[in-house]
Amino acid sequence: MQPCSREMAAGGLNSPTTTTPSHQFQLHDLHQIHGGHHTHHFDPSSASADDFLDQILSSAASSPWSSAAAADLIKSPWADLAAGDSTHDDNNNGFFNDDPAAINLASKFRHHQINGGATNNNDNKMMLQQQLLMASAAAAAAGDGAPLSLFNGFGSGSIQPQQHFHHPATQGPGGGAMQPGQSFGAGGGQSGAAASPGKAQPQASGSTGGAATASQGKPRVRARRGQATDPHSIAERLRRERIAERMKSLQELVPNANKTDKASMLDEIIDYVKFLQLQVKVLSMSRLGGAGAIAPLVTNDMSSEGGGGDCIQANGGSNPANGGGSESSMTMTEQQVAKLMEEDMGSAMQYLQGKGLCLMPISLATAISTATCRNQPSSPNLSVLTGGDVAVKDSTSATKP
Amino acid sequence: MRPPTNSTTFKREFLKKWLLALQLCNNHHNNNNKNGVVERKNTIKLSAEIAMAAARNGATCWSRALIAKHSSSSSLHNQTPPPRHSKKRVLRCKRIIRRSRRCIHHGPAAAVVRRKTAVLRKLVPGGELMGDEASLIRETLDYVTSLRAQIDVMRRLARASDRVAMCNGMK
Repeated sequence: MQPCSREMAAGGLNSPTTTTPSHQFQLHDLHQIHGGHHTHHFDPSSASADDFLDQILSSAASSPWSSAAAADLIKSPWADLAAGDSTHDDNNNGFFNDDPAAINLASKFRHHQINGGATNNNDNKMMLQQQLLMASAAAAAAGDGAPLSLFNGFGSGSIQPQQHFHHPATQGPGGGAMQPGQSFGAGGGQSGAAASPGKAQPQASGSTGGAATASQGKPRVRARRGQATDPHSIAERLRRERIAERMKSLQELVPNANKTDKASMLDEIIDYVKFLQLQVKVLSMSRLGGAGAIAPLVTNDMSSEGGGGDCIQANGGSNPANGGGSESSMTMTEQQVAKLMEEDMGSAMQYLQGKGLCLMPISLATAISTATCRNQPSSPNLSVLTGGDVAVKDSTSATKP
Repeated sequence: MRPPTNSTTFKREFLKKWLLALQLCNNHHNNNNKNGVVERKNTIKLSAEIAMAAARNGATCWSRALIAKHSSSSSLHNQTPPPRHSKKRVLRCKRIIRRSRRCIHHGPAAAVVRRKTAVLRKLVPGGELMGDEASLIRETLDYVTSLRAQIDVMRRLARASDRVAMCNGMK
């Protein structure tokens, strides 16, 4: 597996010299890498996530973007994982646990998907995407595939036709990706067909039970509708139950979940999704190592991250030159923080901590920023603080573990 | 929808694919642009999004929509027919869904809910393609869990890289 991955990595890196879409290669190589890994399956390791990442990055520290390091990036963590014993654990361990049930599901599902996919005849790009999306049936897909296949097996009238509307309707590159969804549905249907006779009965009984309770709960409305258009009312009821159960599971995910109102629940969900997307954006910006992009806020969150300072660290030679792209995100961040601060101070702090920032008085912030930006010509009104440079800098370096 | 064990395997998948995608994206960009910060941020974000969607293996609508969106974006892609194609299909899909959507709404409360679901649709990738509120919520659920996993992975990577940088700085 290791040589396979190295070859694939080298092959993937050599390819962009041609003008073929690197995106295609990207997916193709993703597929191949994963195909290589898939045979070896899940490495029985539990090297802690941080060590694993340290190894990646120590091998990559010299030349992060070179092809040799790239091969090492792929090779070394997996070599380590394969060789490592599950001797020590930490709370981050869950990353690499093995899951035999999921493996079985993955293999079974992969067969279904491959059988379903073989019937499609498309152009190369779609086939590539399709193979990527199908053949790399990790446990994630399998784990979701099982409930989804059962769901397809239930085959309620309102849901199935819509799915089939989707899949033939959206062709093209999206369709290439949709094809596996269709064959996934077909494969799911196949596996679900076996399960559906067993499952349909509980579902039917569940629906009748639900119908009974619903009719008892709301006698006036239900009785009228039930008599008028029976299948519609049952479908409606099913739909509402499904929505309610999903809202319930969403509630567990989203913080501040109050079951009172659907509208407020939707508000929370929307805010949370926006927050998560913003977090992704900030994290992706911060990792560049050009931390000067976020020059205005130059503080670590030392309390929660233990001084690791995941986001925004004032490195020595930070360049303040990156105005444009960062400023827009900074204003967004500030708006978001302001909005959160209106509602609840705790959530605002939490939000900032999630990004590795914290609130601090302005005087301290200016002191730190001048201390770290000593290389740049300081403005005259800040020259007063340069006297305390040494002390401030020592304190900042001391607080970094 | 996703059992807890799957989140770790999903993270592992995501990390694998993201690292690979980063290398490929970076090589592609080295051919084209200089590495400004904005470019690199876009690179990272783009590759992370694609990796996240690919790690989901096309099991969900939002992942397919993300892939479709990025496969038609100009940053990585130089084929013209698919974007037009997909846009047409998307429009037709939306029309079909609107026609077939039979919903019983009553009162102003439903209008409020509807407005909010419209906002949610815009947020979640591929949200506009789903006619059913139930499936929208299911997609949102899945999207939220995968976003959280993605953030977790990225944060760990950032922390580890900071630690490595600090160690190198100390020496």
